[in-house]
Amino acid sequence: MITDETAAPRGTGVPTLNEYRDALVAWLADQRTELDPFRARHPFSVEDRNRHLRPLHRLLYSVGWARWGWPEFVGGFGGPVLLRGVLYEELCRAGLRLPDSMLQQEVMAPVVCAVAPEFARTHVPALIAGEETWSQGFSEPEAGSDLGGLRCRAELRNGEYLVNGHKIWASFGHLARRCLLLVRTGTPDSRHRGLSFLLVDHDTPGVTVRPIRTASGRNDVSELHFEDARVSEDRMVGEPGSGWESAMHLLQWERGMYAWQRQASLHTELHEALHSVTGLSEATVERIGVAYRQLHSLRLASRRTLRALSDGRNPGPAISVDKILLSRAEQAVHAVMRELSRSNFELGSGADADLLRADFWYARTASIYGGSVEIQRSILADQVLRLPKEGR
Amino acid sequence: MTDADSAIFSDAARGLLTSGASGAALIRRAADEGWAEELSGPAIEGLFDTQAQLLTERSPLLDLVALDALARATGQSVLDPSDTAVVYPAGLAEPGCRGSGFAFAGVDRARTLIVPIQTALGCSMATYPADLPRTQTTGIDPGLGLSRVDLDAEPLEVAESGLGQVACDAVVAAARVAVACELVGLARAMLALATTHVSVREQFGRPIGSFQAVRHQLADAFVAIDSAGLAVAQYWEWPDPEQAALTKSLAGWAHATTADVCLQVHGAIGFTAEHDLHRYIRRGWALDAILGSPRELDLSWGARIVAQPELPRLGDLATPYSAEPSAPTLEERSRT
Repeated sequence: MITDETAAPRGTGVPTLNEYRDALVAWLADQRTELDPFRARHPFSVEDRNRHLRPLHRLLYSVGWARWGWPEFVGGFGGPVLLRGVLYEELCRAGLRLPDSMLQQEVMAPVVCAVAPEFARTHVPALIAGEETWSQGFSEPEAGSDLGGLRCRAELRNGEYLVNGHKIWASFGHLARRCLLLVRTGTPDSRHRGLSFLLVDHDTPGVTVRPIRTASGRNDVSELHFEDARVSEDRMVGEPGSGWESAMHLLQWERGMYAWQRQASLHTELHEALHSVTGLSEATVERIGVAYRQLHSLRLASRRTLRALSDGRNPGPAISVDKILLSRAEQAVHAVMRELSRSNFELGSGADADLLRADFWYARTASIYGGSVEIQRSILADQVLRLPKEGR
Repeated sequence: MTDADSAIFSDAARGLLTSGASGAALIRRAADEGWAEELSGPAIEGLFDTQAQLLTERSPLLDLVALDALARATGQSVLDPSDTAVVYPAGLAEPGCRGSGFAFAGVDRARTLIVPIQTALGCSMATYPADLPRTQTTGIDPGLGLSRVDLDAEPLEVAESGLGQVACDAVVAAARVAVACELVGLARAMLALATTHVSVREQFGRPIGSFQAVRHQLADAFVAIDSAGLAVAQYWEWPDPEQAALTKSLAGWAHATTADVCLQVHGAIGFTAEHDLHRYIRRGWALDAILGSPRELDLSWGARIVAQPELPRLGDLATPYSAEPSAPTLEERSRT
């Protein structure tokens, strides 16, 4: 039985990273048996996975580990952001699966805390506690990589925004309670200047959320339709017209912390795939070495970004490196897992094969979501190498 | 490492490397200037990055790094680089020489040769007489002044196995990271050449650097170089022999990728003797063949992690930010 007294006590001040890690590792060892269910192979469907792993998020919050590194005004215990990085690392090292809700909170919550602290005080605690998740309403059918061209509109009428439009590719959106929605509040041709963030409840009349079945048979993403959905003016996150800056702020976290979480998980997945394999060809062994090298690069790059974010420094355009490395590491590790399955991936059936295939498909999306790798290369060419602007 | 640190060492290195000295004279001069002992990370990075930018000819300065690492690992004083040279293994990822090895220009100064060697138990450090048979080799880059050294003779001395393994790992690790710094410097120099070239070279009425195909290739080269630079910085934070192998592999791939991309975007001019590009390319190709090629290092890494019960997670959040090595010294490790 896990009780509050067994875990991260407050009152002794902010722990150093090493103190926090050592105490956490001891707790994870102490609770080994109780935590075993969260170590098992995760369920195939994202719905079952959410049901299975959300209690781990809530548990880590209730005993305090998941509160360190978050500001106190959203229910955290304070301390540097890096404490959260240590938490994810040690959970993965202990063989636990990171709940999707913990990955999603890292993408959504920091930007809200930064641009709208008062708003965050009301709405973010439920994210940190694992009580709810938010979908990320960015992409549209006609605005993927070209995010500045999005058309979902919000018009202010009598203290309410009237929202109309269509959002797509929101990861696990149908499991979320609200949507962090990037909308056009400016004129249709206002491009990046006329964008704003709204937090819209999924159960608002006029909002429809539908999962999209992907090639693997899993509902990894969702689409959202808004038809005259009325959203209170006080659901504006930050200043009207500041949506582009907020979105860019959010993407820093998606590069830094999300990438750090993924590398932590990928180390565990690669480790488990290598467990008890024998008789490998030299070519396979070399590919394992290459995948590890790429994973190591992702780790070092995301750590650099994470340290900058934790110190309140702007990590700059080099975060595009993280995104490119994330794509490579995801795809290299999953390619190795596929190879090590010895045709179970292509020809096998059953739960293991289904999961392997679904995770492989999802890894392919890493070079597309959050700004495709082509966009990242163009950002590096423009902002780091300062090459001549692309011809049109 | 702070930028200020590396700038100080780069300036000092520039003074040393533009003095006109080469071979034995260069290493004597370096020793006189105090480069022979307690080589910090920023000092190594400043020295080998500058050597890369200047394409220094006939430089045996890698021996400084190897001898410094040897002294730290054994707890003894640094052997005099004015009359001691080091022989390095080539090709395979294993850290010791088998049968032969390579020495840099100025090996004729040596009264003794220090050699990491493969042994039945792993690797160790051996001392050989200086009169071993050796032949000069141009390799792809005659500017290095390499000699192939035949190691069929009996060594004068071989370190006892425990300390020998630790010393060999330390020497090879330090030399790998110094070579990695030079490879990264060469790659950065090539990327700078290419960036300038594609910004001024026009075809179809516009700079070729405005074509996406060209821009994206150069961005990929930047990603590879940045990754290698991060690995070097991580090594200074936690100087571990395992990480030295990864760092060299990353630097080798960064150099190879950048060489391919730069050769492509320079067009025909990049293949001429008159243009400098090929000099950075062949320097890196030659250096990267020493102390384990990237493919061999990847293969050995693959074999290592398949055999290990835990997958290593190198580069922790909880380590300090400072450039000072925080890991136990190699000497301390050898005692445990």
